[in-house]
Amino acid sequence: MIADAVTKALRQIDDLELIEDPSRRKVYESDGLTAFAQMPPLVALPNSLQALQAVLRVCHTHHVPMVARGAGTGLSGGATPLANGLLIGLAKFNRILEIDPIKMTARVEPGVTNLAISKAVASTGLFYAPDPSSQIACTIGGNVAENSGGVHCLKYGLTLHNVCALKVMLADGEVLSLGGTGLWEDGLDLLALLHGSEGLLGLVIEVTVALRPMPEAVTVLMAGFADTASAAHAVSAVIQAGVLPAGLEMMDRLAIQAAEDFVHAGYPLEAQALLLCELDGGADEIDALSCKVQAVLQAAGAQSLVEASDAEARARLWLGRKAAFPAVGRIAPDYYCMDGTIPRRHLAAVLGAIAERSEHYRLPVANVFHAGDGNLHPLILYDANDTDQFQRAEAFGADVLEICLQFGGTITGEHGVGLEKIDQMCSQFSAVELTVFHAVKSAFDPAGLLNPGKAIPTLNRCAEFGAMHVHQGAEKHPELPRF
Amino acid sequence: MDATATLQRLVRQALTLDQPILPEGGGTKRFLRPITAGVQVVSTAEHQGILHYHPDELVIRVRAGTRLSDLHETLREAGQCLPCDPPSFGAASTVGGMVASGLAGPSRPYVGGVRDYVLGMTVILPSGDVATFGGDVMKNVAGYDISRLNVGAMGSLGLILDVALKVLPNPERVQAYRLACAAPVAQQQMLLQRRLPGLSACAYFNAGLLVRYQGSEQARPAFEKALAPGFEPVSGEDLDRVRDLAFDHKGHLWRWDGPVDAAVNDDLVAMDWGGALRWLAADQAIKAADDPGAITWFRQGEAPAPELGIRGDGVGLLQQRLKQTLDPKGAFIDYPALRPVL
Repeated sequence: MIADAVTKALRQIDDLELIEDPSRRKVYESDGLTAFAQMPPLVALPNSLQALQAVLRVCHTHHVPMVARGAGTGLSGGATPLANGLLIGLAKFNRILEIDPIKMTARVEPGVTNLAISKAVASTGLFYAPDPSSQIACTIGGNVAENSGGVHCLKYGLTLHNVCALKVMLADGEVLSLGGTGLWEDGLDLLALLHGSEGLLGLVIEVTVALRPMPEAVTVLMAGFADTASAAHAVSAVIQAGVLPAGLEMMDRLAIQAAEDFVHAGYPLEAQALLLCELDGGADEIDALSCKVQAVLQAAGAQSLVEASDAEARARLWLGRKAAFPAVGRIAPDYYCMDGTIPRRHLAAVLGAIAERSEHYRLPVANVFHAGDGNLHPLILYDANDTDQFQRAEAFGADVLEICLQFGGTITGEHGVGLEKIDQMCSQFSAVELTVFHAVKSAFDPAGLLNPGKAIPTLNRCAEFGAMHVHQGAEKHPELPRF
Repeated sequence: MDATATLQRLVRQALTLDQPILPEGGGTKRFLRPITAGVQVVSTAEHQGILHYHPDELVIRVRAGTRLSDLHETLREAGQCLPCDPPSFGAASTVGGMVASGLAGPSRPYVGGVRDYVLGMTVILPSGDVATFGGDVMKNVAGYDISRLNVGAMGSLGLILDVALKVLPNPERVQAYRLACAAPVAQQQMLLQRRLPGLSACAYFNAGLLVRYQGSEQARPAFEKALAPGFEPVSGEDLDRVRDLAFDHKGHLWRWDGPVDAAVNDDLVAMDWGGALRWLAADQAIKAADDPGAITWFRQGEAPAPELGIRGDGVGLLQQRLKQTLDPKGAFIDYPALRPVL
């Protein structure tokens, strides 16, 4: 609930669309993690920064919590509304403000979609490198909040590595420019800190991204392997050979079959594991590079090897990988997408442990893997209408995160903590470390109004979780994402 | 040698005295961070060693006191490198000092700076507790990015015990080129050459524009062909001098950070980062009214040090609030005052 006085004050703001009608508010009840639906009591869609600032000031004055939202494609519930808070939609801030082909930067509003940036700058021969799979829809503001990755992180980095400057609005409406006009500014690196802060520190209101020249030549190699251990070994061998691929992805048998049935990408159905390796560079070097990597893959035991150099053939090979999630969605009523990252040398052991859990819980799992950077997406297949299956899927998911931690990894590589993994934060971090996070929050948002309850658990919650862990999360909801 | 217990004891002892702690590695950057009265130095120099290194995962974890030269050597043996190309101001330079100062070399605009290669770290917090942030993996978005916040924090948030770094394969070929020219011509060329594939440095020093190629042998001819007439292959010596700030200059050395297309500054000693970083020598740094860059203190010349202040804008105030909430008792030194007071 939001107090009438607040609603009245908000109604006075110019350039602001307030959504009070329940049927229209319902659209905003969840992000990509639909399990955590919560009807927002009120939705504000500001049309100008002045309106946004006025909204924040009203909320600040009346102590109303706020959740900012871009396109709502996030997978961890970071933009799930609060029962007692205002949902602020930033998708209307969708203008590209400036493209500077000399400095190779673009200055954009937070609601611009990831792909729209690359499209807008394509005629200048430049592109924006981070490409999360939701890039058609996800916004750059959300990318900053989550520090989004994609399939090209190994070579080109995460969002953090591709943003030069930000404008942020703090909870009280103060506007700050971070990053300076050059490549360094004095004092603590707040620009880095904002990345992946999941909307808890400030609202991103402008982003200056670094652009890169499009590579002259690109080629994709597809190799099939008789087992995942050989494929994992091949990944190591490619990197040990001194090659840094633009993308290096792995899929296991179930994922291969689902993708092939769905989009007919030409994947080898007899393979237990598949590697997709994208190489880019100058026209004069790409052939030599491709030969080198092909030799490495063959030496590592590739049973099949296909090269796609022209754009159409490359797109076809990538299509299967990019459609892997919906493809898996076709073979089971529901799936639960995990997002752990592990040191790659433990891949075979981690996949083994996941397979063992899969048998234990009697639920199949398909693995899609950003192999180059160790980011694993196990997709647990289940039927949400079957309460028992749902509970097993939940328990299985929690086990997967614990397995990642046991092997020195992390509970989330790129999807964020949000609401979904907040309890596992208690496993990854000690009370001392969580206290540091709380100190950061209190410097930016002392009143605790921005996205409370997400990303960083309270110490109390962790204490309770210790007991809850045995009984499973009774508070969670029986409906999981499809993305 | 693992000196964690000793360092933690030293920090805890220091906390009982009412004097802020200044973490120090090899002490090669004291010009940047002078030891003043009432400050307790805690040295990490003995806390050395590679904790683990997996070349095929492109990750190395090292203790803060490890000599930078030892790190380079270990990586070189495996055919890899630290792409951020940090300066060295003496053989005693340590990994902890590189991270705490966050200084990156000429390749910064092309491959990223120190923070872009830091994946995780273990620190002794101002409370005296040991905490670990980030990890040994490439992608990790659990919790705020405290590791990268400590990069360039100049030891103001705690004592860095060890860091996990992303490393990369060595390029097959590295070659520097030089074009003799004046600064304004160099700047024009810098702007024209920004997109050259394989460009890994672009600097101006000693009346010459310096560019560096790194990449495969096959692609190098195309790079050479794209350079303006008059470029000659040279050794990387001058670029190393730009990186290590081995300049003969009168007056204090100041750094200027701003847009690459801003007018060439007065008092220019060198330009780096394709023009985004400039080194100025002057007893007092005076910024032109229309200069979009920011000037900060770097190294003292012969004259007495000028008056310096801290950032007073909104960002500066937030940085100070953050220091205050993370180190409420002021156990560690403050971030230094770097802004010229005019």
